[in-house]
Amino acid sequence: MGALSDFDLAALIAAHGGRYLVETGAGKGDGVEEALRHDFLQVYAIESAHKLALDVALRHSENHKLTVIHARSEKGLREALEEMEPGLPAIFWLKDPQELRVLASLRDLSRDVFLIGFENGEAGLGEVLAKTHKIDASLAYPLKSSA
Amino acid sequence: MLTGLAVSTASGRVEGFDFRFSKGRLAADEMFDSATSPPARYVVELARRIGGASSADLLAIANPLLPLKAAQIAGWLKEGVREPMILASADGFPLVYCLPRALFAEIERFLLTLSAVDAELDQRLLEGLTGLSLPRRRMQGITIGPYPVSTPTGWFQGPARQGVLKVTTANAIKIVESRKDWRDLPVAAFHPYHAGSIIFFAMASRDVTAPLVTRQVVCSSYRDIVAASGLALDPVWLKLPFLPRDNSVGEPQYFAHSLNRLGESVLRDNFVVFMRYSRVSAISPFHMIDHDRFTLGESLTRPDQLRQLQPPLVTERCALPAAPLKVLFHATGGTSIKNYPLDYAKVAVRCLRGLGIEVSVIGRPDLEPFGAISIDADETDALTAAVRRHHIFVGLDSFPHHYVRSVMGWPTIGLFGATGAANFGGGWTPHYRAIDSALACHPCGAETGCPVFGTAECINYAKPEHLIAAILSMAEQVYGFVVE
Repeated sequence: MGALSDFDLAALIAAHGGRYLVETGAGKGDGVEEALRHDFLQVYAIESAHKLALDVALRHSENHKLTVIHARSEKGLREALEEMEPGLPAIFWLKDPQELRVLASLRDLSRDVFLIGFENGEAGLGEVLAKTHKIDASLAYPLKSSA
Repeated sequence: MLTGLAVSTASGRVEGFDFRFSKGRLAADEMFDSATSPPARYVVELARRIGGASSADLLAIANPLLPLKAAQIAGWLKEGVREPMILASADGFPLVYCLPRALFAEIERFLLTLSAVDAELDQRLLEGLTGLSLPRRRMQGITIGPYPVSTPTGWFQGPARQGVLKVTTANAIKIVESRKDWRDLPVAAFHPYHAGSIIFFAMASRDVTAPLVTRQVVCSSYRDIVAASGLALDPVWLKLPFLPRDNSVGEPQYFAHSLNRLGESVLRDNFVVFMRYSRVSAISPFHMIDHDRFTLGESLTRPDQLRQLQPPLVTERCALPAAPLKVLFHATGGTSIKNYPLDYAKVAVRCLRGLGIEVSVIGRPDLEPFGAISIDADETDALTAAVRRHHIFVGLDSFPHHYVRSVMGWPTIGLFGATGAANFGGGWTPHYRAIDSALACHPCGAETGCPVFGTAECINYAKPEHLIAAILSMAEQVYGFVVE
């Protein structure tokens, strides 16, 4: 599984104006730490393991730009989307391509950017977007290391 | 003792009132024992009870945290008390609050923010609330010292919890001293978790005639439960995962993080009162819904006012034909000591199937070889739908049981092992019965293993034959179902 820090978030934000970052499977919060270095309106970290979610949440309890959601991905994404302005673009850092099905049913994704961590250790924009969800996958940003 | 004096300042007449925590009778000298009430809630209740029994113009209410008697405080005030004041110990612990009787009633809901542990803070708060100048008299001969972490009378208000109380008082002082419109602001109960407790609080909120509290700080992950339970309070969403039950994070520590999370605007717009547990629930014989009703403002001075002795607020039943009878079983409490013992569950399932009764079990594929069907129902909607497909629900002392029994009003059998059936079950009706083996060790409250026999599972759970008898009895009573 790749890391959010593998991506050039600043470039993504500059190019596409991502105002939110939504991460599923936030784990110990490494992605959160990276996301909070950027000027998002709000960062949503979704984590189903209670202890992990609580650790991250308590570590950042004063930071109101971060919302940690203790829930499975689908429920957490629904909760995050309820708070997000539909018209503002978001960057989704997903750990399972299936989560796109949920997103596609809940939001117009045409202005959003998707980063998907794969189990094989790579991180990148999955071609799965174009293949299974008919979402424009032209936003294939290179990783920092290969940029 | 819960104690106070009624003082007629003109005549100098003093009447003493001593109350004790009720063990169930709710006699005239008893007071409802609520685990979720902060000490200040008892200041309010004492003022109500004493004020209601006397025409005196001044009330002297003793600190509910201290085992005081009326004669004792009358002795302290033997020089006479003619004016409002606070009597404190030499080390600054509040002993007695003396206020005009009428004022107690007028500022009742804001009195919930009294710390009851810091006389200086309480003096400042009361001065802000009343507009009076309140002298703080120290009793030089009396020192409270470090208040015990837990007391024989059921309080657990050690230093960290006292910190919580002081913070809520300090927040109230800030509001009163900075906002002219403070009288219009709501009191918000800090009662954000866990799922079962949210159910009890919600049901209580629906059952209080004149609530002192109109808002509730509640974890946002419980949105679905709040919606399903019909909470009558206005929720203030706390965007933090709930407090773990393993004590890896202390409740006062979590409370501090919660205030950070809620932020300045919530704290300026709400008198926040800590309404998680302040007392040991198992000492009280009452059901938690009644605990919470008292906490929210109901006085509960007579047994016939108790919800557990009245018909339930909600009663429903399965619309399916009575046969084949369908039973939904929630047997998993998360740890071995909380689970319904595996061998008991196997026998119960096998026997019920032998009687032609269909058995579904939530999240237990290991019981399928014995004839049960394992189903997923880990969200409130899914649980609701699953329950509606069954005639009777059998559950442990956890959220599904509390939800199905209280919110859905479904025919429910509660299985109790380590925890108190009186507090979390109680109140038999045709639609409800709580069963256990009535061992002397019950309720031990164990979380990890049996403290008496050293077993992983709890042997106080009702044996399968008792469970089956309860199911058949309820099925006949509610649905007219009889095994052929």
